[in-house]
Amino acid sequence: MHGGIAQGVAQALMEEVVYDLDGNPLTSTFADYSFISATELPSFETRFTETPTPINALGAKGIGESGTIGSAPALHNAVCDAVAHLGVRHVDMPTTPIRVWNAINEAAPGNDAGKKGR
Amino acid sequence: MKVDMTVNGTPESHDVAARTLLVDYLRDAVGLTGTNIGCDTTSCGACTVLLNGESVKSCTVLAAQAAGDDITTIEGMAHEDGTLHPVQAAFQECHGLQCGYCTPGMVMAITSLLKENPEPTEEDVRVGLEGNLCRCTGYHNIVASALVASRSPEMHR
Ligand code: FES
Ligand code: FES
Repeated sequence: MHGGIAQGVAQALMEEVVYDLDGNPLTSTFADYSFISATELPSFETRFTETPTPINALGAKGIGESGTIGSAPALHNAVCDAVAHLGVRHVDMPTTPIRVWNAINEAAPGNDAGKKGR
Repeated sequence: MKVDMTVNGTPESHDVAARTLLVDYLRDAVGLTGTNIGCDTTSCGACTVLLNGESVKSCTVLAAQAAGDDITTIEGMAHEDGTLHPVQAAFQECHGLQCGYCTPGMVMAITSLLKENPEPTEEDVRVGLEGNLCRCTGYHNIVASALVASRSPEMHR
């Protein structure tokens, strides 16, 4: 669960597999692929909750890396929410500092490009 | 070229190519494969060993640079009778590993960190482990292991 949360956070904020137009991977070592470390993460407090799904007879749900599934959208939404008051509607994942900066500038009043969001 | 060093208290002498990295010397010449290679670009910390008591990434040190030095690898951490080193014991207690690939490097890095800073805060541990990557655990239990180890009386002798 902890590792899954970390991976989702990383996917929202930093990690990305990039290819050039010819299909060559551009993120093939840790020198160009940003990987989350202990420094960027807090400790986690985890709790059990039971919420059976109504759409099958057992109430059972898939459990694989459920931490990842929740943490990526939570982080991504938090970033979008943090800059929403500046007119930003969307930032592509991962929300790297340069992407957030560009999104803020594009959304700035008087910049028409910002209207479509990025 | 002939490269001599002490590994886990045992004198080693091996004929290796001049470009041999310390990690390859340890794994291939000495035969100690507990030290892992995760990246080869000084990024992941899986290859961390102690060089004269201080942590280094052994993929970024030439074997020849360590000639005459004292190396400790994960194999040299437990006591002779098999009792675990306090950092290893803390990993066991706190479930500080999943796949275990990062673990030898983490144990060595934490040992070095606790030598520099015997009473670290959680923040100190997190900053101190920046160079050691773990895909599995989310670091929570690794940080907990470091803090538990820091409270072991054996670490304060
Ligand atoms: S193998 Fe040495 S830092 Fe990754
Ligand atoms: S336990 Fe798998 S990489 Fe750390």
